[in-house]
Amino acid sequence: MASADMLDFDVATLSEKLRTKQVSPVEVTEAYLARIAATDEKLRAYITVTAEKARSAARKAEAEIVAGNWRGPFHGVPVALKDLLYTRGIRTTGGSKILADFHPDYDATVWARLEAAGAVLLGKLNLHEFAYGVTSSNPHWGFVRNPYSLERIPGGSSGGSAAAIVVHSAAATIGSDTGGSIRIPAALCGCVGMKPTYSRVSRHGVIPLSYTMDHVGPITRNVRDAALMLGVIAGYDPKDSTSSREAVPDYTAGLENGVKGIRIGVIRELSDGLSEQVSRSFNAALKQFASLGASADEVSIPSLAMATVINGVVIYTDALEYHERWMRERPADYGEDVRRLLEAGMLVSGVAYVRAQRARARMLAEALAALASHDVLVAPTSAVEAPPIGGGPLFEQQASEADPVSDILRFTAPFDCTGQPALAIPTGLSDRGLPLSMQIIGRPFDESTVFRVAAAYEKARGSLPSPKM
Amino acid sequence: MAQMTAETIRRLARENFDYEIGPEVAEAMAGSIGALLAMTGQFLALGLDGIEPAFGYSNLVREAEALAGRAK
Repeated sequence: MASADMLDFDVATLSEKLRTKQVSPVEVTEAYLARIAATDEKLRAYITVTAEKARSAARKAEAEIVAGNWRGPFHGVPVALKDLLYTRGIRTTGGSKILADFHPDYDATVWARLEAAGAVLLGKLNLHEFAYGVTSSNPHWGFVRNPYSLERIPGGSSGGSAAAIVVHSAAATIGSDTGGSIRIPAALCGCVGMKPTYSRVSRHGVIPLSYTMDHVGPITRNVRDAALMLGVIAGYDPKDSTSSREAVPDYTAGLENGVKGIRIGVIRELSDGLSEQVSRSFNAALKQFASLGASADEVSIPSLAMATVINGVVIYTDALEYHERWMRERPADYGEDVRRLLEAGMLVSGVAYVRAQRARARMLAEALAALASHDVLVAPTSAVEAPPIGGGPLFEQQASEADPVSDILRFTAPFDCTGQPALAIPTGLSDRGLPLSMQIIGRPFDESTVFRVAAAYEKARGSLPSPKM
Repeated sequence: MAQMTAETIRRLARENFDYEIGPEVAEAMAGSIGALLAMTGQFLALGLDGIEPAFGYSNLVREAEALAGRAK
């Protein structure tokens, strides 16, 4: 089978072909390594490529599958991790200069679970330094590029994780989300990003940005792959004191159930200030839902107006607590933008921090009230399409007079504050050929309904045209 | 919370963190971060009476148990 064909398989398809020995993990892994070599000089999605370890793992997977010991849907599947997750003996930089030579002596639970499921690690993915930003313009490891336009940002902080998915230099990837860092790059690059419920996926071995708002989750080509991957990484972990004991269902079970009778709440506070392109695409998605038999009406979550402030205060404080010693000893080793954000943390009072934490409960209460009469909530993932690298030209399509970063964060940060599951899914391309996206938000621990609604929409909408890379 | 001045920003960083922020940076921060922090004064308007921060004791116990387990 030609390498290009293998790269076109989603995880579900590839997995079946691996299980039935139509393709081998070794040849698939070689195809992905060749794809990384062909694309990454321009894309800068990877910080570290673990080629020899990948080949070794692929050989092991092949031997096991041939012997009849198939471990499940990720056995022999090549994946990559945001370089924020600890990998034993493999460099883990956090996208920073400070950890440029850091080799952990244990694995993040998420990687341990994927490895136990037979996944093959291709490497560690580039990100905004320490996950503290939305551009993935990394001053230490290179600016990650958007596959649909190399002059534009891929979004962040998990920019490498989304870019690699879209150019098929990994079959599935892992990202993390504290203000939107899974959903924003998924939106701007045109793929699926699932931020699960807080505590659903272990944070053990993940470099923290905010102890109370960090979420780890999949970035994939489609909804089914995200459901498969979450099924592997979710579940209680005694190594993470915030980890939930909630049972993990089969997330793929309801993917074909459609949305007939599903009640969708359209969040009023996130329906304004959109660029014309985003607005048109989002409204078309709502019409698509109606044609599939779902009902939609408006809901209000008034406290969302304060979401970026609440999210910011918590992150400023938590992030500085983690970085404070390095800020004293090695401030020049941070990129300027991240250093400024950490300095901002020095200004937040304890009173403001505790009130921000209390306000999160108010916001979640309002969201739950809306969900009492609706199955899911929806909103655009970003008010704008991918901005050009460098920041300034973002203003040319700025949807509001707010800080341009707010035109992105104000849509995603609320659901880090509330900890609800939220999935970003492409809704089409803009006139400039750039991806547009909406997010589907569910009740805590009800990822299954989010996946079900997303899968129905995805099936009706069809695939996005691939980027030319 | 009142809007911060550049001098206040420099003093807070110096006295609380032994960290020097340059005057030009502090001036810029007063306009951006300072404005955001000023908005924290509106948190109470969200109606926080009766709401406690979600720092659960169960998490504290689990963290301690994990630490104790590691110490064995």
